[in-house]
Amino acid sequence: MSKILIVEDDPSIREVLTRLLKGSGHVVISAADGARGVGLARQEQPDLILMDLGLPILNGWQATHRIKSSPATAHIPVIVLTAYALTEDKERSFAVGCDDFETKPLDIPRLLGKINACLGLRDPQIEHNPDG
Amino acid sequence: MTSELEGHQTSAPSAATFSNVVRGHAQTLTAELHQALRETMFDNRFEVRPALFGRVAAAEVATLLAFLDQEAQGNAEQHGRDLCRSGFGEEGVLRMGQALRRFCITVLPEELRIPALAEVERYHSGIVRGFTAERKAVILEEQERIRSAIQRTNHRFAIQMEVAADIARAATSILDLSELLQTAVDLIRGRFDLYYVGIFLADDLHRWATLQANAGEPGQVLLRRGHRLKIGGDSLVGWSVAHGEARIALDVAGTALSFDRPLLDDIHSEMVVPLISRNKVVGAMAVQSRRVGAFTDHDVPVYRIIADQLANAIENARLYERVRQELLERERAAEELRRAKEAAEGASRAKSAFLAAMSHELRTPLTAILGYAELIQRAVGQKQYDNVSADLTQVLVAGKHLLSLINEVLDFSKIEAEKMHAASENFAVSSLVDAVASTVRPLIEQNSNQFEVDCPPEVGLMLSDPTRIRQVLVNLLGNAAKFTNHGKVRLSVRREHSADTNWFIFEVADTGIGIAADKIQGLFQPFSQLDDRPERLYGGTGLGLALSQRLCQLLGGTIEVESELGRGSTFTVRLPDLPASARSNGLERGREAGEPGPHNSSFVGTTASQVGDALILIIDDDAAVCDLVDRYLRPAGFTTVVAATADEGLRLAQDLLPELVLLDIRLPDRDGWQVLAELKSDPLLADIPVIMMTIMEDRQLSYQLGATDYLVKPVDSAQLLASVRRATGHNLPAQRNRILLAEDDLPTAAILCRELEAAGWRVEHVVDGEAVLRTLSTQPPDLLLLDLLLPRTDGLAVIAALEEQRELRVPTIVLTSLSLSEEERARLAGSVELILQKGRNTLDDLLAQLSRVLGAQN
Repeated sequence: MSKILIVEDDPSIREVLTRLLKGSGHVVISAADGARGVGLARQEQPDLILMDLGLPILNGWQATHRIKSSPATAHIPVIVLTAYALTEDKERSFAVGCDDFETKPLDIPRLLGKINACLGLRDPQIEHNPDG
Repeated sequence: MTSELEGHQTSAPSAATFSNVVRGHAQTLTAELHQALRETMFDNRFEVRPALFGRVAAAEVATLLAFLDQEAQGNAEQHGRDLCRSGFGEEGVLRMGQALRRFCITVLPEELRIPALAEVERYHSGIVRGFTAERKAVILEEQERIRSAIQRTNHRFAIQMEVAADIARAATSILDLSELLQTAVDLIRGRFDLYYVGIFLADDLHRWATLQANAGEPGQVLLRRGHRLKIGGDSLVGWSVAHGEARIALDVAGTALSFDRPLLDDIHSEMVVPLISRNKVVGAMAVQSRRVGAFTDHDVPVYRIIADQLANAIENARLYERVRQELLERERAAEELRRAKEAAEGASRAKSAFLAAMSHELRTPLTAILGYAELIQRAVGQKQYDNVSADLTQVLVAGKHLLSLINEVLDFSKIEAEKMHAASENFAVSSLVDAVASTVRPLIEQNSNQFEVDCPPEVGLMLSDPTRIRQVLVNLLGNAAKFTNHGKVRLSVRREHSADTNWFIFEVADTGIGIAADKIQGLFQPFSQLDDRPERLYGGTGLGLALSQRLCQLLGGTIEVESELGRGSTFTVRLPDLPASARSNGLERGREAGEPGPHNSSFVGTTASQVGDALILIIDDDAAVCDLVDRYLRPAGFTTVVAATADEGLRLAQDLLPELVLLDIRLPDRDGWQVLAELKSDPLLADIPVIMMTIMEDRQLSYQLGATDYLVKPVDSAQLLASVRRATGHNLPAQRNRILLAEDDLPTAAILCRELEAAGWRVEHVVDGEAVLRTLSTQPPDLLLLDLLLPRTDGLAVIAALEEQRELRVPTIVLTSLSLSEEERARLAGSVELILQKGRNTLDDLLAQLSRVLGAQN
């Protein structure tokens, strides 16, 4: 049983993801803005973070950057989930240190596969596949 | 002497006796007269040379003797005239009379003195008469000469004034500079009857005076040759322009200043007058004559007037020219603006049409999704589950369609925005074809079609972007499947070689419904589906073919279609092996247009502002203050997070590790001093700078507790920004900003150093390749700016050395004034991040690219 933090401002997507992940047997916590997301990451020490990009206060890139540059949270894998589907957005995400990237609408089975992969291989040295 | 005379002369007094005595004492008398003349030395009317005095004295004695001998009584008068003519003044004449008288009194025996004096008086009055008469004549002559000189001068002056007036007129009516100058030189030459007139203008740097216009045939050759004289050089023109003074050479051959006149060998006099406008020497006018001494100092003022007119006219003409150029420039700009506006409007119309179509295309499946969702909701409410599964299938189908639409639109817009770049890799065409075939086979066979694939193994390897080719083929085969029933779909691949290029030809042929001739034209336009009716039979986004065409173009190829209605269609895709040069060209083009290349895409620029920038935590319970501070800081690129209480502030500081904390002293739960103390006692947070904000003055305490700065409310925006920038400056991740500049041209290096340092870079400057390699190995910089032409080890050698020792490599920008061939560029492009052409790329280009290049490496 893993703890997954969802940082997503759209309540319905948050709801869908929460239900989906709970259904897969995970503990789910969520934040609706980037700053809260960074805070929860530190306080709750989740096993994985699903990060939206278009977030209030701190956007997803900024939040990921903070998470990945703080010693307290740098180890937590971050999967970016976003409707920003351009290559630059993806490159920016990897540039700030995210571990994987999925575009919305979500391919649920593939996302679950990635989540499992991240949870199974927590070693920061893992080679991620940018194209999914 | 007197006693001697007395001894000899005792006879009766007579003119003859007197004459004899004079003859006997001729030497004495001559000496006396000579002495008398010498006493007048400084009073002569003209400069009679003292050497002549002896001869005059002797002639005087001879004349006196002739007078006394009664041989030529008129001689005295003539002698007086001669004296006058030879330049003697009254003083000399009178002195000589006195000398004669003294001679009579001192030398002659007493009995001779009275008659002798009478003779001398007669003689001398003759001289005076002659002298006076001659003097009158001379004065008359001089007066006459002066009168005619005045007349001549007046005439000349009148002409000069006329010319000046004409030039002034020309200056106001002719605004074209060369026409004006030509008119002026023709005027001056004609009116003053000169051999040659030339006008020289100084260049901007005041180094050369170049012949601009001249009158006189030989000058035309000089003009064609671009004859120019060095300012400050030996020529009269050069001297005159350098000194701003007129200069006359009365005989060119004799003057110390050599006159550069290879073709003007008939010149004897020359005058050069500087052209001065608003205290600035803009050039010079040279006038030349065949006569020796044709110009005098009296001519200078008049030529000066003319020159001033000309200089002003030249300035006016230049000014006019500038204004005209500016006007033209402005018109050109307006024209460009108009064209740009038209283009933008055209593009905007196209975009609006596209958006309208897009909106429609997106709404259609969305409508289905929402509609079915509604139906499902109702059915579930009524607990009637019969159709729910089928309805859900419709939702999924519409959703998938929507997704494929969005993906294609995205690809399409990327290509349109030139943001899509072709990858280039070697792959076996047959395996690509196999993969495509297995993807589309079910689709084709679904409509009871036969699927044939013809890809002989000898087609071999291709160098291109397989993902894009796959996309095109799947789209074409998908269309073929859609529009063919109980028919045949065939995919064949072959290879051609022409014009140094390997072409791969992919053919997708079907026996389907075909396309009407009039529809083929618009086939590759976005949203041009064959069937425009809303309830059309064949689904699809309407972007597939448009996208396929653009993808083919991106890969350097083409797509063509042949079709017959009812018989089927054949789409032929021709794609080349992507040559290396084409790729690097694409790279270059992108960079020159200020766009990032494929491996330094635009995210770098935005990352800096959205991620790398400082995050500032504001701890203040006054929402208005927070809002204000946020509004000051956000435009400056800072991100702010607000905490209204001390606890929340501390928690957020721990969570977010901000770059800076702005801390109010009066907080609802605890006071700011405690927060400050807590921040400073947490090892993770102690280094975060804290700026205190309060209404009270407690500077001392702030600093004691470790605050970085102290601001008194109400905070002024400039003060706040300055303080925040100061505090965050050393915290920014900007330690990577050392540039190694290799440039042997010191002025260029100085400019670059100055500009780079002004832009916040630290610059280390070296002048040769050895030093570059040394510095790279001892103190590697973050970036190397490399000139190609360096002494000893040049830039290319440095690059070659870095290819060998890749561990020494840092991001490198080549700055060169060489014009590189495509091949050289392509070769360099593989080893360096960017090539900038001196002269073609500006400093701004360089500054703009620096952070990109660096950012791409981060």
